[in-house]
Amino acid sequence: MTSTLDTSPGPSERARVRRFALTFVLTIVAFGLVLAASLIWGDLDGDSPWRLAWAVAPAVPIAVTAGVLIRYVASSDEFEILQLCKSLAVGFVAAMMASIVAGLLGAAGLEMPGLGFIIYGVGMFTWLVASIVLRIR
Amino acid sequence: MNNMLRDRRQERGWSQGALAEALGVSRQTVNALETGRYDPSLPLAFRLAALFACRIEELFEPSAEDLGGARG
Repeated sequence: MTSTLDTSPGPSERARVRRFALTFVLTIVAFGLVLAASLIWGDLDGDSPWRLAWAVAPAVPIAVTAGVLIRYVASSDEFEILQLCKSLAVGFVAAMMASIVAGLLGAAGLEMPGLGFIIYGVGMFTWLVASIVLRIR
Repeated sequence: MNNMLRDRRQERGWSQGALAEALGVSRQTVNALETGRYDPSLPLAFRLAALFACRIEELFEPSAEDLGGARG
């Protein structure tokens, strides 16, 4: 129990992480459902003015996800926030690099459908990798 | 910075999780403090000192590297 190898978090930390994981997963599931509804009933290729509302509808659960993340970060301790800022900075740099490369390719006439999602993916993936590297270092 | 956190914790028979709980930080943070990967802020150092009923200097001491840049 008192071993230096004891890696069990305390009860309040466990509860905090569990609460975060649950609400995070719920918002991601909501995002998936709204996205599916948008693709099925949104008539995104049509000309109804409602298609614009359908197109941005998935952003609502993502905004809730952002709120969940912000609340989790706000309840983090000083070391966790430092680690988060470092990994976020790496993800931000990667996303900026991706957007510069995309901009240069765009200037050369290369059109990339879903470019925003690609840049988002690069930033998020790099953030995730940087978080894992910092955690195990 | 060198510290005696692990020794002090083990003297009391606390796990890292228990110390984290008492300090209001994560277990990962306690581990980072004990292994010297992270130096605490002054408020956290005071909380640690209060918890172990000692002075900050009894928990932390500067390493040679820390003193290398000292001027006086």
